[in-house]
Amino acid sequence: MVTNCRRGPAASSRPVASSRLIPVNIYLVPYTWIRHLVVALNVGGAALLGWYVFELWIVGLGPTFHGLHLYWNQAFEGTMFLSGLAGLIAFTSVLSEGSLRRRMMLWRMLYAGLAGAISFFSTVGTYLVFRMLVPYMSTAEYAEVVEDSSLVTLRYTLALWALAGVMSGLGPFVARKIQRFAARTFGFAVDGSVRPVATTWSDRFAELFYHTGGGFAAAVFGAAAWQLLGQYDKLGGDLYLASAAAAFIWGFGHGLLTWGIPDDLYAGWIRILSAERYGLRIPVDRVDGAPSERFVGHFPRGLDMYMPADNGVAELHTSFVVDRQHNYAVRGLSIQPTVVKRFLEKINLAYDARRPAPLETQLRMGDRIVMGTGNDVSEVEFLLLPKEEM
Amino acid sequence: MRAGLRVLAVFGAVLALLVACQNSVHPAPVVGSTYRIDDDRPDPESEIFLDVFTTGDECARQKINETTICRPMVDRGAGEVHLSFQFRDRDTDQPFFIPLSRDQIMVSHDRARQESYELIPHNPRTSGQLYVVIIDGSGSMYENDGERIKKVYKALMSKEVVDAFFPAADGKTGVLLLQFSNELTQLGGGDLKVIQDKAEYRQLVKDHLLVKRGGFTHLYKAVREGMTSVLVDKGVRQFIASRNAQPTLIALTDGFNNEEGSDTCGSNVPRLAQSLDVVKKARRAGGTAKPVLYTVGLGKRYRKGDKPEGLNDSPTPTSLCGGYVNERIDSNLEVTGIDHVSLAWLAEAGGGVSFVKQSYKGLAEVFLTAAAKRYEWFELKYRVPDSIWHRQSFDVRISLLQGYRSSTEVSLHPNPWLDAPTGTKPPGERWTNLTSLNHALTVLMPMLGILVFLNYLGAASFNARRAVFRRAKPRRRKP
Repeated sequence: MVTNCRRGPAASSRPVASSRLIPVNIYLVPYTWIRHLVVALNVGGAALLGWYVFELWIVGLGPTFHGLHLYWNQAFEGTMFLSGLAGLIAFTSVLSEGSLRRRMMLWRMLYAGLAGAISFFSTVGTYLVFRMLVPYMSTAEYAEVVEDSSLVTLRYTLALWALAGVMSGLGPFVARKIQRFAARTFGFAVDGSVRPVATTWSDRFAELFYHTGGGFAAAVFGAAAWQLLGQYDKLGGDLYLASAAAAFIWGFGHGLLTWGIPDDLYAGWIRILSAERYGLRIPVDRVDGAPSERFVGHFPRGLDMYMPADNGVAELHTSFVVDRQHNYAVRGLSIQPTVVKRFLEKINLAYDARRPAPLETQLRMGDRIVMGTGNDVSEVEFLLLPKEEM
Repeated sequence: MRAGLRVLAVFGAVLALLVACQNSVHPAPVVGSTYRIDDDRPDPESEIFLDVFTTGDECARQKINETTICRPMVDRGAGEVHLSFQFRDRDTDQPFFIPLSRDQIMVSHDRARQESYELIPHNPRTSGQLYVVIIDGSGSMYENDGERIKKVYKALMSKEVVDAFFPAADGKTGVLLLQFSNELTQLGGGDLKVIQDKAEYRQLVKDHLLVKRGGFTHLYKAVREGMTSVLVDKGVRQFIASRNAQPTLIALTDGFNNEEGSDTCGSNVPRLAQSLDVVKKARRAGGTAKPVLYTVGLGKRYRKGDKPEGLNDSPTPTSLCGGYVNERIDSNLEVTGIDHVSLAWLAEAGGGVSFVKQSYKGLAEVFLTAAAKRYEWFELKYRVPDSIWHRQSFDVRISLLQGYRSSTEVSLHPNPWLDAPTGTKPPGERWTNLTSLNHALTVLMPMLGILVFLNYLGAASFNARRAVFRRAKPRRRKP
């Protein structure tokens, strides 16, 4: 039995994989729907932890520190609460990315801290400016009421929530842009082996929109939860659980909307499901992210994945391709039966000599590709796994 | 490097400015909540200061051990505020012990009078008290076979009243029984003697109260003397000084102040004004032993209408007598009823309460009220109808409605963003208890647990699905 799996020229020219070159840390984040939630769960959890720290500080430690004259003025409570949460959310968002990319600890903390600091101080600034403007937003007889730093109001604080949300997105955006610029220009904290390429203005604008808009939406949802739980007696009627819910929803929404785990942290793999050579797998991607094509067949030399001919595999049976945008496809190169199977769907890719080009179809995580017919059948699956596996 | 340090220094300075640590004690954090409380602001017109304990330190300074119930407590969810307070002499700043019940105070939350509140007295006073009972001995008291004086007799001899006058055999409490018609004298005559024994008290009342006397009713004079010369009598003064006793005067009459046969109601106006001045002066000079004057009318009111509102108003013929300014008192007005307006005026100036009673039981209640226990400090709990009243800074005003002129205002500032764990109300209890901050952990830890679980759920469900669909197990080889 031939057991070797040879790689084509493209594969053999790849740099040797190492943790320095392929920094990904998402063993526990499979390429399923959960990957969209993981960052959100982490940021939401951090925001909830931030809420607890505030509770601990104000309720538990406040009286003691007040006696030591180390307790902040009441007028700053709102500033510190919103700015602290904005800073923490920004910090966790960038820290999550740094962890996933296995950035060096120094750079990981530096960029996360930068994002947190930008969000914190910009929120403080906007908060103070807005509070100065609040009296001008009300009539003279209500000026005293709205200037009361104890007033529980969504009407006069919604803008503060929204501004804090925008700032919580702005910090990570600026930190990510600085990281990418430094990596591209000076080679600092390069994620992976390749320096990032410059993005277009439209990409930058889109990224800015996702960050600030996502932060804005998340904070506004948090404010809505804060108001609902704090206002209505049937839902609690005080700001204890309301503030906890607000912090979590803001953090969760921020993680969900501003930055998700990008596809470039995953790589496509072809894995044999047949008994012969079961479990053998090869990556479709190249380490540098360039487009590539992997061939599967029984031709004994030069193919990326060898499969035995007596199991229904032609010499050059199928190929798996990936472009720069991480779109994966499979092509049927043989007149032998080639079927892609997925839930409630079968796609026949057998080569039709009357057509000018082979048939191909987009691949999805978990697709099975069945080659051959009857008892002479081979089966492979397509998997998206963390790039670290390469 | 230097530029980096400069940036850091600027950030540090900005942060320090922003954090802006509070150097003053107030507004102080309310323990167990996210509220803050300002220092209390006693009304400068108060006769005695009502001092609200705004911090645990203030409780400790007054040597109150129950710090957890002495310091303020707030729960926004329940709309409850718990405050503790003590009365203090405005001149000496010494604690001032008074009897106080729920109906003697008014609680307002941002100027809205509250109905749902409870007053819990703490630490009954153990220092002395002197009850000065001034009984009308004029002829009218003995008319109809002594009907009225017998009511007084039964009231004074009832077990409850005797027990209230002599709560413990520690010699700290004394009673002075005086009677007046034209002159104010010791019941039975002789030098003033403070009675400290139940048996002696009963004997004195039994022997002398029902002995018929006569004469005019010099009520105002008796009150004036009771508030002044009686209290500086050598024996009385020694009793007060040695036991730090609080004098409580109870003046009892069945008619009008009537000094001459030609007196009309209007004749009493300048006399009453003079008496009020004397009473007020005596209370101002009293230090911590301010005499308190209760007045009791035995019978019914001679006319409709009460004393006009207003503490510092002087009596006028109309305000005192209504339409009876020129009506003769002797054999005319005094037959109709009691001058309840005069009595109210005197009691108000004397920091006490005026009563009109017809039965001996009613009289006994008055004596019991006057002899009520005094307490060192009080705990006040109140609840606003809706927690929406806790959504901005609010002022709590506590005012005394009788006894003394005293009120205090204190401001509370809720946190506009956060609350401490919501309080819990045990079954059958009226008021909420604070929930420990540990409760926040019971919110945090399960939530974090769920988040961690969800983090693993993706990988777990992915592997489970592959196992179910036999992706993780080799297929059988062909035979």
